[in-house]
Amino acid sequence: MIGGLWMTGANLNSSIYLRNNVETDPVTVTPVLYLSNGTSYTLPNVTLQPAGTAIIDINQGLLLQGISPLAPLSGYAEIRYIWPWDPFCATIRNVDVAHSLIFTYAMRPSTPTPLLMQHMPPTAQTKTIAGMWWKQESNITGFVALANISSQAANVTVQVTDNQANTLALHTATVSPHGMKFLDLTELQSAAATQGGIVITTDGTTDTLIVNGGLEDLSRGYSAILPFVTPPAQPLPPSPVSIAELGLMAGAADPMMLFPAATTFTPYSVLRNVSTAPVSVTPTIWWMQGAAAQSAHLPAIQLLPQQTQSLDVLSMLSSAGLKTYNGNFNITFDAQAAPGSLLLAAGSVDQTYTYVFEVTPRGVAESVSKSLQYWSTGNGDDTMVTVWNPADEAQNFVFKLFFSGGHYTLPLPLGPRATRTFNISEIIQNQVPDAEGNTIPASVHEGGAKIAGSLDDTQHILVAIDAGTYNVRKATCGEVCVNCDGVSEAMAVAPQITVGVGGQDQVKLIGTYGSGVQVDLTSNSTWTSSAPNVATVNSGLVTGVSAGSASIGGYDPFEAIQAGYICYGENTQFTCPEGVQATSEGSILSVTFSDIPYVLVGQTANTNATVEPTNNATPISLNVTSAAAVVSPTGTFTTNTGVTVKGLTVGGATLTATVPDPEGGPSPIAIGNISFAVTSAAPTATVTQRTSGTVSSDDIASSNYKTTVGTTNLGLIIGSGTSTGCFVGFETIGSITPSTYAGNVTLHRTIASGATYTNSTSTGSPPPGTDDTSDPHLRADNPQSSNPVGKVYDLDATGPQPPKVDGNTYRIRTNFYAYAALPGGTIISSQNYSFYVRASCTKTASGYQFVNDVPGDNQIGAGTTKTTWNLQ
Amino acid sequence: MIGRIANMKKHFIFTVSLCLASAFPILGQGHDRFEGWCDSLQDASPPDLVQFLNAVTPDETNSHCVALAIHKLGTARYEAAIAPLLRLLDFRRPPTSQEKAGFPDPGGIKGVWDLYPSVGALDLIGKKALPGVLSAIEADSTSSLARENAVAVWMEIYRQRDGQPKAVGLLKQEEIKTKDEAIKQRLRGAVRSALTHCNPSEETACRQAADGAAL
Repeated sequence: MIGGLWMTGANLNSSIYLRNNVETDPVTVTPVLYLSNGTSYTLPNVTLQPAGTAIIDINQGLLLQGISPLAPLSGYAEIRYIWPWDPFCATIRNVDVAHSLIFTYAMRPSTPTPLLMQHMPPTAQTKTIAGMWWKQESNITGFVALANISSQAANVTVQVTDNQANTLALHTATVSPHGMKFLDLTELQSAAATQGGIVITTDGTTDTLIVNGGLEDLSRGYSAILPFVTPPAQPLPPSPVSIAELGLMAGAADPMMLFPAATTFTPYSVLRNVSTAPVSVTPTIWWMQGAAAQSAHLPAIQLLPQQTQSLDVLSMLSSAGLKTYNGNFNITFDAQAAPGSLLLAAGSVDQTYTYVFEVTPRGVAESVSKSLQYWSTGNGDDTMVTVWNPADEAQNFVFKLFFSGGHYTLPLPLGPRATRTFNISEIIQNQVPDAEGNTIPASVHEGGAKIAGSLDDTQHILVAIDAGTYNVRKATCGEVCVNCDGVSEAMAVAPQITVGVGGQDQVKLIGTYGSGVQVDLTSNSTWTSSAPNVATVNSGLVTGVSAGSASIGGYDPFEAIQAGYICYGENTQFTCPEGVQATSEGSILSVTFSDIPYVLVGQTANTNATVEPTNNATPISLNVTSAAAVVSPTGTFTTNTGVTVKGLTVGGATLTATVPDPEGGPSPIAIGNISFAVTSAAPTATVTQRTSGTVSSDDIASSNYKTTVGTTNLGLIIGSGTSTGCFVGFETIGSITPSTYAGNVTLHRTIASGATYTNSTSTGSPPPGTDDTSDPHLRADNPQSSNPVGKVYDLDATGPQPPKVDGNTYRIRTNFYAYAALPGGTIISSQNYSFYVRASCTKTASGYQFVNDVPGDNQIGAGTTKTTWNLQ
Repeated sequence: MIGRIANMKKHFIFTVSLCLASAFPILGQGHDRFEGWCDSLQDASPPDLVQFLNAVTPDETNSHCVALAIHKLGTARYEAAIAPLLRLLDFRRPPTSQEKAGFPDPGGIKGVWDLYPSVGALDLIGKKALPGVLSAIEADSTSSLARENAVAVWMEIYRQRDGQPKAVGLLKQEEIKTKDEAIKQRLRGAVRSALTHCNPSEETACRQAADGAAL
């Protein structure tokens, strides 16, 4: 993680605050300090226990490097660690006790896009960062620190404007690589306006420019953080957004907070529209009356493009009927706004401008648990926490405190829209054992915390939370960084898939929470294949369709993602992000073999193994069933290869290509095969035909013939099965030599010529050569299925099928020839068997009838027939 | 916006525009009688065809497209299509122009595998379709015609591989195994129907299997 702004000096102390979000393992960090001139110093390693916190004293760290911490120095920091994701919530806190100033800046993930696993299109690089300033009294001035974390110098301009976008000052700076420039915004002091904008433009990219800033009045002890946002390069469409400012204070200070007598607080809220379109924002004030939540909806506020507006919150309270209100309250703003178009700042300040309780505007949206980086009750500190249930139903939360050596869980049931504010010191002082019997020892003064649903950390809840650590004696109040918990790492298991065509493999989407907990998101995810013609996916189950490569993506749109970025203001939506995705790369391998008609015993035959995809690198093995052996290749191969097989014994053989199971399973994965016969002699066939009697008893297509035409009779039949009409049934037989031949042989049938008629009118002629081969359901191609072995069969019945009772005669005259061929097309019958069918049929009320008005009609026989209607 | 906690679900709707196919093959213009039946699906990928079948309710306006989709998925032996094919087991394809004219198409007589294209498609997919086919036979929601066709698929897949007696015997075993009386009844009917699919050479063995003989 990187960023922040550290400042040291005679009165300035700077520290890095770290919380380890991992609850299962310790993590060791190496802090690196970058000075404004780009020089870096590596500080000693620090190990954080699971869910532990650490404070790294930068002044002390510089001293160890031989650098006086009394010197006015500044820069940014980096923390390095070895962990699969950013496991920390990290902030840099700068405290000037002498002047009662405090500036807290968050560090951000090192990678420009912290949500790599999120289902988002790549965003264009941006060059502009927008900020906002305001002043509640005339002596306030400001500063901006520009840190360049790239290795290229960056030329940056900083334009300071008033609330109507008129320029007040223009600053330019060249920031050296890994350097930082500090700009004083002295113009704020003399500006007539009391609020305005800041526009920062770089000739680099905003990914490598870290901007932090502050407002201060040393004479009064006023300090506040300047908010910044990076608007998207291309405007995004408006969407509903709800933003909450929690724990604002009005009126006399709560006596329990131990402020000096007569301390009163005034709330403030400043909004800026940094987009190019007007935005309408509707405020609602929420407060508690007894145990019940109350609200008042106020008129909408119109914000013109680039307009900054400081709201008169006291007037708003008055409008809500709370003119004399003393206590805490919340403001929500509802708007229809494009992401990145709004900047907000809010807080409460006392009448002396010394005590400034800043609050961070939070988006109101569903999330899982949220983590608070740090709480402190030591050395006069206390941490005030405000929790709001924005839902219109009660919710049971738990507030978990983590500290060195233990944890404590506080049940936090909240009614609809109710707010609860409490100090951590109260919990410690109460010493009430939690459900596990834990209490927080009185000696404990710091730790981290988390708010979650009562079921577990992954329960979806709707909650807004804000916290600040204040010190009445030092007159400082620092905001507590809030992290969105969620999935920190998502992976598709298995990341590599290799299946054959038709093969399947299960991919799972596994998310790992920042805390270390793993969740299976497979069933909640939407799965997609980048190439559905190569591989399909259903609930993570991948099926190979054809050879090639495909990315298999799983996306759970509602699973939370861990994000620390709500700490540092780069969250343009103000809400915790959702949507976890991961992809798996799939290779659908296929090996296609060229035809092996047959192999003679003791002889070899060749086939070409074609491998797809052509860039395959997975080793492919060959194996063949016992009737044959592979002669070559002798080892594995990855690309197209010639294969030689040898016949060993008469029978059928199957040559199979396999690859190892990528998941390490014992069974290799088949990616292609070819079957062929090993024979004692080259097969030949003699084709004959039966046209009377019944279907041969060893013809295994007999039952399909029967269900189709309703009988096993051959010759002239009236079809009464699924096909009806006047049929001429025939069984073509192929007698195979040698009879032991174990490969398939198909009897093909071709129409040599033909014609159809209605009465004497021609209705068409099939083109000569039309393939009329029967469907496999009507064939018996395996000569080993006959009894005795050595015969293949083809059954068919052809004839007119008059569609209705119309008195017409429907006629067909067709010449066929039949032949026997191996599956690859090699013809093994020495001559074609030619035959003809002629039939005439009519449909009457009682059914189909052959019509014998033409002599010689309704016959089947060897040879040919005339194809005229009257056979003349 | 403030509201109730709710998990939203996105509904992904896939649509394929249909064309009312009116072009029919002319006799003898090739063996594929589905040519020209539905232009919008001619080049569709198997996943698209499955999505189409999942979304469609067959009627006169889309029957050519349904038939073509089933035919293509069967030819591709596309296993992911098993579920929609089972749902469409009683879908009967529309007649071809030759059939309407009263004459046969090339390719021989047309059995149940051709008239009900899902039967033929499941036959081609083979053994991986068998669990779904059995479920269809057992399900109360399956129409009698679809159940009869499911039995035809069951028997054909075994005819091509392990023999029809085994097919009958496995149905009988399922009948014996189930404790649900309604399912038992449906399986009993399926066994009876299966016997009509047995070839003469295997009739005796089929009957023995139907009587519960060991496989």
